[in-house]
Amino acid sequence: MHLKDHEITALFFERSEQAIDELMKRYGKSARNVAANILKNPLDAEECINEACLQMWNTIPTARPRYLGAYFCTVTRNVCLNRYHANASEKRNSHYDTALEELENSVSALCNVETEADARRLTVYLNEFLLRLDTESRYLFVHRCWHGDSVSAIAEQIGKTPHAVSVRLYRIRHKLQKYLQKEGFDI
Amino acid sequence: MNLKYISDAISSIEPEFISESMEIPAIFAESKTARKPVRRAVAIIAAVCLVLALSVTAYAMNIPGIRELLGFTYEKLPPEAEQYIVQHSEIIEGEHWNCRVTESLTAGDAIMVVLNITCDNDYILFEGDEIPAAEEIAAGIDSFSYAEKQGRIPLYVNADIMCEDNTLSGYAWSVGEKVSDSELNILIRRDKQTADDVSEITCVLHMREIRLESGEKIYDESVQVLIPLTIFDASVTENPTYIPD
Repeated sequence: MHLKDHEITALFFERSEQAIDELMKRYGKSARNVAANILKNPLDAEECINEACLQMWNTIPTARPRYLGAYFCTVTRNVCLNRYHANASEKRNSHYDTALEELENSVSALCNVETEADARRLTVYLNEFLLRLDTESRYLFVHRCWHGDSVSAIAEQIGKTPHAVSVRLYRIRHKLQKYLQKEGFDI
Repeated sequence: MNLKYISDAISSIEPEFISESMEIPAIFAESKTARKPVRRAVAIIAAVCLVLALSVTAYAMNIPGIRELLGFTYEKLPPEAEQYIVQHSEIIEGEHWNCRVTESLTAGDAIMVVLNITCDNDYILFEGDEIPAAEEIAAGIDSFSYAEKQGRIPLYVNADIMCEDNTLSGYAWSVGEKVSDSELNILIRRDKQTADDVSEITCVLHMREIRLESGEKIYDESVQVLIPLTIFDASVTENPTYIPD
C-alpha cells in the first residue's frame, strides 16, 4: 500500500529519509520511464534518478508541490535533459528525439522556434491546446511528447494496437497544427 | 527550428497535465481490462440510472444543437448536412442531475452527439476537470473557488462516445456551452474508423464532485454513466463538417 502524496510530503517536511523510499515506491516507475526514454545509457538514467531524489530532498521543504508525482517526474526530466544536452552522444535515436521531431514537424510548418521567448510563447499555446483536448488525447500527447514514451509502450499501457495509437497521435498533431494556425501562432 | 527550444516548450507545460497523465484514463483502462478481465483493477462505479423516453424534442425545448455548438469550434456544419441530424429524447436521471440526449449526427467519419445536462441548485456544473490556470487560482476565480463562494458543490462533467467495437473509435473531442451554473450543453465528436454503418454507440458521462471538508478538498471518485444510444448512420462518405478558409 502506497502512502498518499500529502503523507509523503509530510515525511519530507519531517526530514525523514523514509520520504525518499516512499516517493520511489509510488512514483519511481514513472520517473525511471522518463529517464530511460531520454537517456540511452541505463547507468546515466539511474544516476539522474538519484540526483533527482537529492534535489527533491533539498527543495522540500520549502517547496510543497501540489502534484508530487508530476513534480518528481519534472525534476527527473530536467536532470536527464541537462545530461542529454551535455552529452552529444546521447543525441538521436532515443524515443525522446523521435517524439520531439514529430512535434517539430507540426510546428515548423508554421514558424521557427529559435529563442527562449519563442519557446515560452509556444508553451502558452500548448497549454491552451491541451486544455481543449479530451482526457484520452491529452494522455496520449503528454506521454508521447513529455514522457517520451514510444508508440508501442503507450499502446501496451492502454491496451490498443500501436497502429491505433499512431493514428490518434497523428491526428492530435494535425489538430495542434490547425490550432496554432487558427490562433495566429507565427514568429 | 531548434529542437532544444521545442523541448523547452514542451517541458514547461502545466504540471496538472503531467499529474493527470500518471493515471490511465478510465476509458482506456476499461477497454484494456475488457480484453484481460483477470487484470481488471479499476472498478467503475456504474450509476444506477433510469432511461425515460419523453416526447419532448430538443427542438421544442429550444436547446442548442450540433450547429450551434459547432459555432464554438473552428468547424462548421454546411446546410446540406442538417438533413442527417437526428433528434433524440432519452433522459438519464442521476441523484442531483439530469442528462438529456438531444441530437446526433453520423456521417462520413464523424459521430456527433449533443447532451444537455442540468443539476440541482446545490450544485454548479463545470465542463472538464478541475485544472485551473495558475492565474485563476491567484485571483480566486478558479471553478472550485467560484462554487465555494456561492455555497454550492462543484460538479465536473466529461463526456465521450464509445462504439460497440472500440477499434472503430478514433480521435475524439468535445466542446461545452455553459447556459447557466445549473445547465451545460456538451457536443461530443468521435471519429469513426470504419466505412461500415455504426448504429449502436454508448455515450459515456463522467461526473465528479469535489467537496471541502476541514479545509481539505475531497475528490469523490468519478461516477461513470453509460447511455446506450441507437443512431442513424447517413451512409455518406463525406465529412459532415468543414473548416472555413
